[in-house]
Formats: sequence, structure tokens, C-alpha cells
Amino acid sequence: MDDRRADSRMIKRIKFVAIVLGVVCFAAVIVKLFYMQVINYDFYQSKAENLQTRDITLYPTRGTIYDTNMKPLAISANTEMLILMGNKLESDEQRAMIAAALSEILELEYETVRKKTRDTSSYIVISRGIEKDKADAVREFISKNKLSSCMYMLEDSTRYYPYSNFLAHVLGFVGSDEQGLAGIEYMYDDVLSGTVGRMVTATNVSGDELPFEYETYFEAVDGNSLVLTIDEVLQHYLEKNLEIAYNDNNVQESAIGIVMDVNTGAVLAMATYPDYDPNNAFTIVDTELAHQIDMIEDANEKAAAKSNALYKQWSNQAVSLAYHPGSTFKIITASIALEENVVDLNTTFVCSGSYTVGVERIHCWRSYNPHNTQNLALAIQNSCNPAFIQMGLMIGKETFTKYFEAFGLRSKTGVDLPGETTGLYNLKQEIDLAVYSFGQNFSVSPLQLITAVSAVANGGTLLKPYIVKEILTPDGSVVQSNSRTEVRQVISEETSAIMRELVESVVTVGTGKNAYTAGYRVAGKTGTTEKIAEQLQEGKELRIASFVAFAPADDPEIAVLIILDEPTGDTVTAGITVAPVIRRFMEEAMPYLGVEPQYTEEELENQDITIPDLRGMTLSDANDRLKWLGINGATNGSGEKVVDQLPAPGSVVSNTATVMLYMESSAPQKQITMPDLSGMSLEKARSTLQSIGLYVRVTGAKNGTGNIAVIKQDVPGGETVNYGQVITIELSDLDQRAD
Amino acid sequence: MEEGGAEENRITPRPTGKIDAPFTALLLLLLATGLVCLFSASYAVGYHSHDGNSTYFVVRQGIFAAAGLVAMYFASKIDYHKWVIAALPIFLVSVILLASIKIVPSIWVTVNEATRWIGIGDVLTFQPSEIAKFGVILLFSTLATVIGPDRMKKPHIGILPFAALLGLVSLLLAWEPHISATVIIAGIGLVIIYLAGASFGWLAGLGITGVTGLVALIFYKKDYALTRLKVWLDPFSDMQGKGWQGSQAQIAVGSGGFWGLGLGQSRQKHLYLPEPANDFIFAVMCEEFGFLITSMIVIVFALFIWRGYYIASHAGDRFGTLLAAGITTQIAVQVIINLFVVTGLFPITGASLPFFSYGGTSLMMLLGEVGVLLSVSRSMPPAKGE
Repeated sequence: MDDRRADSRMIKRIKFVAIVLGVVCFAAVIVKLFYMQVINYDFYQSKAENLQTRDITLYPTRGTIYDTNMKPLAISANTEMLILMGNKLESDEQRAMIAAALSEILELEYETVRKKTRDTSSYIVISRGIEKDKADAVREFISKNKLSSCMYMLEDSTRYYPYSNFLAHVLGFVGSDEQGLAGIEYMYDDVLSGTVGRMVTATNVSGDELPFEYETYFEAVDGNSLVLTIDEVLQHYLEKNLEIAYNDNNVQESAIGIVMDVNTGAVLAMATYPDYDPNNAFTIVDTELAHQIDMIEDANEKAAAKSNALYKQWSNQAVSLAYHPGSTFKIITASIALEENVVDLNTTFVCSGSYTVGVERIHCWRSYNPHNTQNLALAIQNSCNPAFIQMGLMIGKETFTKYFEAFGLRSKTGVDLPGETTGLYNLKQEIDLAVYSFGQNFSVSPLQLITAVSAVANGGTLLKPYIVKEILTPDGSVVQSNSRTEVRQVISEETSAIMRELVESVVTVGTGKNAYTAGYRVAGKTGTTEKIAEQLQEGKELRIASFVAFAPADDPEIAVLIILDEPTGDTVTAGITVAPVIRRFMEEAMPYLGVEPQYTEEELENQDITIPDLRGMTLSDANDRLKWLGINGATNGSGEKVVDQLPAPGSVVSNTATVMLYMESSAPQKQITMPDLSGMSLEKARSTLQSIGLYVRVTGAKNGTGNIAVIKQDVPGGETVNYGQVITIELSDLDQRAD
Repeated sequence: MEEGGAEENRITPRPTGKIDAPFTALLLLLLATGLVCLFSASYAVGYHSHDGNSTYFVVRQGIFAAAGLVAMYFASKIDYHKWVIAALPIFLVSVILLASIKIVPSIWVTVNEATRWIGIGDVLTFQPSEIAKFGVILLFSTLATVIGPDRMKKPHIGILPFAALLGLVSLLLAWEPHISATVIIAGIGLVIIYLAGASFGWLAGLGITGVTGLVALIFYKKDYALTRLKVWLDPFSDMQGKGWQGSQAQIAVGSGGFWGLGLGQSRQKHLYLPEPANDFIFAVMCEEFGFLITSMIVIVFALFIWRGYYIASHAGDRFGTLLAAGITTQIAVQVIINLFVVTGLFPITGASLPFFSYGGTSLMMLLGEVGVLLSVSRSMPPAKGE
């Protein structure tokens, strides 16, 4: 074998090979590495991050909304959300399969889900607020189809309104991402929503987290909670009575109510009826309207009609309605006149049934029976328009406007609720002033009016209304608290004191009689106005009836404003329609607020009595007990002990009733058809019921004078009742037809 | 047959000197680094496919490395001329083994659609192509030495028989199929006959013919070729499909950046990268070490290759030269193909990284071959000044 060493040619060739395979190729690798790892690093880095990490948004829990006594009205409950990693999906068939399955499990529209699955980003929120059973179904789907590398569940929270429609217009509601869309939820969205967190985790190809530390974590900060000034109990009374009034008076638009603490400006209750359920805010409550909208064929028109209907449904009329306050505004006109000393208690006004300003002749509501000469008190009690026109003209345009502004009626009140309106004010001529004086032709919001009236009642100070009392951190400490904020002194304490008495007299002897609440000093003023623009449009009479009240009249605590927008019952004037609503509310609210009742002698004589259980007593014991209660008794049959009684134990009945004691056998079991009592006088109603063996309990204007008649009975005519049952009737003075 | 000009170069061909220290040092450096990298790269795969046993791969590799070093030691002690006798038998054995894929396919093991391994039981598997590489090195070196540089210049002696042998091996490898082994074996063979004196012009002609054939083939299967080409040039164009391996490797390399994520911190090895302990171990290294250290490792490889050719050029005789060059070329081509594939300079093909990739028998054989190369190094004249 050739044992020579490599010659120079061979060595040259080795060098060539060594240069190619030992230098050039490796240099190429290093150049390529430099290009990839240094020059183009960002490109690969972002690819890597997109591939290897799971970027998770951590949602904070939204704060709770409480009423003033810490009763939760809006809470966030734990749910889950489903995230799809679109970048990990392999084929369009797979995307379609996932969309079909998920839309079925989650009860979502297929097309919506399908659209989301077409996305190729790594974080697609398929659905939020998934409740446990559905979440479990999704998990089963994921594991069955081995999809854990491309979708996963995260903690989420969902807003719940445990009392559904309760306080709906004030609370508002949230959207699908828990963003506040209306009411307090919208106004305080920043406070309630908290801060979104973020977690970046490294994952392997299956989407499992990696066993080593590679995590960036920004904790979510839960939202703060709100404590409202709203008192759940008063709110309940208000909503209940608005609903009754809405139905009793066949109201076409809405029934609106506000209760305000006159000394702080705190809104204690606020409601608009019909309301809606914030849990399903996007469902149109008016089923007839919803049906009509469904019938619209044009898609754009339909969408527009739907959104109009929804906006109307959500609108918090207590702050967003601009209406003519009408005669309720006379409180303000009288306050201005007194404060400016253009009138005093002895000033007289003559009503001839109308008053002419320039060429315009303005009628009084009682032009058929003119008020003739009245002093200030009578003018208010009578709600006499000519008297107030004269008062307005005495005040003068400039001063009127100055006070109008001072009462905060030309600017937003600044309440912490969205959608506040300010209405229209355009006082130019004498005639404007004349009409403005009795509350016509300009508009204000309900909240503006009650705030101004509160100023009249509380000693003359205009306050800024507010609805959030405190902001609490998630652990419950107070970060902010709101309290009485004075805007300005509008009238003097003296004027305020006179006004309190004058306005109380409207209820005791004037056009507001039906608001009289036995045992309590309620002051208030009616107002009924024509919806002039709408009347022209619809060609029929459309009214707004309202009543603003405060109580107790001598030392006011609360002011209440109730408005019926388009009542269409037999009578539409506020003295008939709204005044009883005020009374019903006050009857419940005053005891709740701890105001001590002070009854007149007459009222004390006409007290209701709760019937005790007399069964098993001897006759003499039973009679003693009845005598002590101040109610008559009678017997049926003879025996030693009381076997049965009517009315049944626990019934509340007028003390004029006679309790029947059955000494031998049980009371007769009979079914009686309830008669319709409406329009009857108390005596007529009482005798009608007595004659068929029914007892009566009387509420409302039972001590009043005038055309007192039954306006409500707790069992409608035609229904069957048991023999001896107590029927509650409500009386009202039907003469109260003042505007 | 003698050449007068080369008379004074004659020395004793018997390797009696010491093994080449720089080469050995570079080898041990690569081997040690390789084991560390393998431990990191195989950690996740071991964890997932061997019941949480993250050290499964590195322990096995370590045992084979130790056995390989023993084999290397003995091989370095054996006079490399003794391999002349074994050249033809080893080549024939490898041919028979490669052919057995059609005769007794049951002993072959298929992994990822390629049948490259013969299994002895469940534990020991080896690639006949590894034996074929060594067989080609031995046979070509022997034949070229016997033929001598003058006759090697004639194409019908210096090229044709060798090309026929390479053709035979290539055909057998095509059955597996095993493109990278074909390229490596062709590379080894061509380098040996080139060094032995084959005509550069004819070799170049052969190369041009090969490239033309390849281009013709590409036109013949245009769609397939274009897809492959597109996926090679831009693996992200079909990341979820054919570009998966390439894009995952490139993401690993690129996202390592200048400083790397740190040893053990690779994210791509967590089941994103196919074969992170094997064909794509270099991608994990790039990701963990970053540009600076990875470049240094690449330079160590380059120095190692360079030193291998240094030994070849200083070997005691031509046979030693060709043998050393052949073994060095095998390692060089294998390393280069692997690095090219991982960095996207070459389309994806299954090629492991010597001393780094997991594979016990392959490592053992490689170290054995390095032992042969070290034996050659003992025939080098002592450096000047010693």
C-alpha cells in the first residue's frame, strides 16, 4: 500500500475543503444567527409570545349598590367566561364545529359565535357571565373534544338586581361587559367597575401552564361600593302607590314620584312607573308595543323603533321629564311675592272668573263660580289663577326671573344621576309673566321642582340634591361621603314659615283636602296642566296631574312630588287623582319615619279597631273586653261561652261596627257577591254593606266635609266575599276639581 | 508506483505518537456541552413521555457517552491501518443491512414516517446508515490509496467506480427514505475522492449533472416542490401545517435574542418544538443561550472540524489523511446540515447534531470513529520545537 504522506496538491485540496466545511458554512450559520437573534429579534419574539403565552384579562368584581340601610340592590355574582384562542385552531371545519357546539350549549345565536370563531387572535371572549351548569357543559365539551389547547374558562362576575324592577330607573343597568349603561351604574361606572388586571402565563403546546416561574401578574382591583340615600322602605311605598295610581287613573304615559329629605337634599325615593327589570333591560316591557315593533318589516325602521322604545323605557323621568308644573308652582310665586314684600297676608285679590293682560283674557279654573275677593291664604287654598296673575305682575319680570334662577329652576340641580334636563324658560312679555305665575308655559324637571319646594319648606335654603351617600372600598371603609350641600339662601326663614302654614292650609281646608292624612300635618299643592303641544297633535285633552307635598308641615322632614302623566280616568284633576296618592304614601311613610301622630278629637272618635280573639270567653268577659275597646257587641243564641265571632279575630274594622258573638254554633258560612260602592256616600256604603252582612273599615277623607264619596274598595264589585268579612273603602272629596 | 518528488516525505506510517491534544480537548468540550444541552432540551419531553422522568434521556445518553469514550480510547490505540482489512466487510455488511429493509422489514423500526432504525429488542436501536457512512469512509480511503493520485485523475478510475458505489448506497437509502444520510454519504465520498486526486472538472461536471437532475425533478413535481420551497423560505406561511417544524425552530432561535433566556429556560422545548432533544436541540440552545454563547459553540465546532482536517493533512500517510478527512467530513457535513436546517438555511430534513442530539448508538459509533481519527493523529510528526 502507498505509504507516502499527503502531497502539496492533496494538502491544497484539504485546505479548500476545510475552508468550505470548516469556515464558510459555519460563518454562514453565525451570520444567519445574528440576523435572527439580533437584527430580527422582535419579529421572532412577538411570534414566540403569541405562541407560548396566555394573556389573561382579570376582571374585578363590580361594587355593590346598597340602599341607605345597607340593603344590597345591585350585586355581582361569580360566573365564568369562555375564552377562545383563535390562533390555535387548525381548520375552518374545526371553527365551524366549535361555533355550532358552543352556540347550542350557551344558547347564543350561531352566526354571532361563528363570526367570533373566525378571528385568529389569541384572546376571543366567546361569552361572559356563564352560570355554573352551562360552564360545566362547556368544560365537558372541551375535554371530550380535546380542545383544552384552544379554549379555556376564566372567572367572571355578573350583575344581578335581586329585587328585579325595584328602583330600576335609578339603578340603571350594565351591558354585556358589565359596563354601566344607565342610572347610577352609568354615573358611577368608574367607581363601581374597579381596575382590570392582567396575567401573562407561559404555556406548553397543550395550553397547560409551565412548571416554572414565568408569569406577569397585575392584580385586578375590585370596584368600590355605593351606599345610596334611597331608603328601601320609602321607595317601596312610593313604587307601590305609583303603580296603584297608574292603574286607577288609566295613565297613558307614566307615573313619577320623588321623595326628598328637605333638610339635606338627599333623595330618599325616586321612581317612574312603568318600570323595567334591569336584569333584562333590553326586553321591551310593554308587550303590545313589543309586538307592534316585531311587526315592522323594514329592518332599519324596526331597529330604530326598538331603540326608541328602549330609551323611553330606561328614561328616568324624575330627572329627564320637562313638564309644566302648573299650580304646584304657585308655592314658588307666593314665596317670591312674600319675600319681595309685594304682598302680605292681608293683601286681597279679586277673581271675576278671568283676568285680562293686554289683549289676552285668562280664565280661572272656577270661572263658572268666581272666587271674588280673597286674601293670600284663600288665593292659595283656592288655587285661583287671577290672584296669582296679579301677584306675578306685582313681582315684575326681572325679579321673577331672578328668583326663578335662585330657586335653581334654570340650571341642572347637579344631582349625581345621568340624563338631567332643565326645561324651557322664555319670559319676555307681561303675558308670559302672567301665565308663568301659575306655572304654565315654561317647563322644569320633577327634581328641579321638588328641590325648589324643599327650599321653601326648609327655611329658604336651596340644597343640591344627591343620591349617593357614601362610597365604600371593597373591605367596607368609607372613601367618600356626601352630605347636605347648600347652594344658596333663596328666601328668608320668615317667608318660609309663612309658606309652610299657607301650604298646609291647602290640605286642611283648600283644594288639596284629599291629601289630608289623619294624625299628620301634611302641606301640599295640587297642579293640573294641559299638555298643550301634545293636545294639538293628538286632538284630545291630555293632562299632567301632580301634587307636591311636605310633612310634617310645622317642621318638615320630607317633600314628596307625584306626577301622573296623562291620566285618563273620569276625573283627571290632581285634587282627585294625585292627592289621595300623597295621603296613602304619607299614611305609611310618616309612621316609618317615626313622626308621632296627633289626632283631632273627631279622628280619635273614628279610630279603627283590631278585633281580639274572644272565642272561649264567657259572655261577660267578652263584653267587658269590647266595652274597653269602645265597640258594641251583640249575641246570637245562648250558651256559656263564645263559640265563634264576627268579624274574625285580627280584623281591622271601624269602631262603629257591632261585633257578633255566637254562643251556640259557628258563624254562618255564606258567600256574598260584593256590590260596587264607588260614588256612594259613607252612610250609603256603610248601610249597603251592613245589609248584606259585611263589615266596613274606612280610610281616606272620612272626616272631611264636602262631596265625600267612595273612590276605592279593596274587593272589586262582582267578586265573592265571605259573610262577615271586613271591606276596606277609601273616601275622597269629589269636589276637588281645581287645576 | 512511486513518485520521486514525494520521497523525502516518507516516514514510518505506524502511529506511535500521542493523540492530538487540541482535537481531544475540543471533542471533550463539545461532548460535555452536548450533555448539558441535552439535559435541558430533553427535560420537558422526558417529563411528558416518560412518566415525569425528566432525566430519562440524559442518563441514557450519559451511559452511551461513557461507553463511547471507552470505544474511542481503544480505537485510538489500534493502528488505523488495520481497518483496511475491515473496509470491504463493513461496507458489505452495511449494504446488506440497508437492503434488509426489503427482505426482513420486520426488524426495522419506523419513526415519523421514516424507517431508519433497526431494533435489537426494544432497548438498542441503530441506524444502518451510520455503519454505511463508516463503511464508505473506510472503503473509499482504502481504494483511493490503492489506486493512487495519478490514476485517480482519470475519471473512469477515479470517479466512475466510486460514483457507482455511492449510487448503490443512495438507492438503498432512498427506500427508507433518508435524504440527509444520502447527502452526508455523498459528501463524504466526494470529498475523499476529491482529496485523493479525482479530476476537479469531472467532479464539477458530476455536480452540475446532479443539480440539473434535481431541477428537472422539481419541474416534474412542480406543485410539491413549490410548496416545499415556500415552506422553507417562509415557514410562517403555513405555520399550523407543513411549516410547523420550521417555524417552531425559527421562533426558538430568534426569540433567544442576544443573551438568551438562560439555561433550562427554553419555552419552545415544551412540546412546541418537534424533537427538541434530537434534530432540533440546536434550536433549544439558541433560545436558551442567545446569540453570544451559541456563536461560541458554533466556533468550537468549526475549530474541531478545522483541527480534524489539520490532522488529515499531517497524517503519517495518505490512507491516514483520507481516513481522517473522511471522518472529519462526515462530522462536518452532519453538523452543517443540522445547523442549516435549524436556522432555515436548508429545508427541513431529519439530521441530528453530533455530540448533542440524543441517540446512544449513534453517539457511540461517532466516538468510535473519532477514536480512529485520533489513531491517525498519533501518526503526525511532532510539532516543531518539541
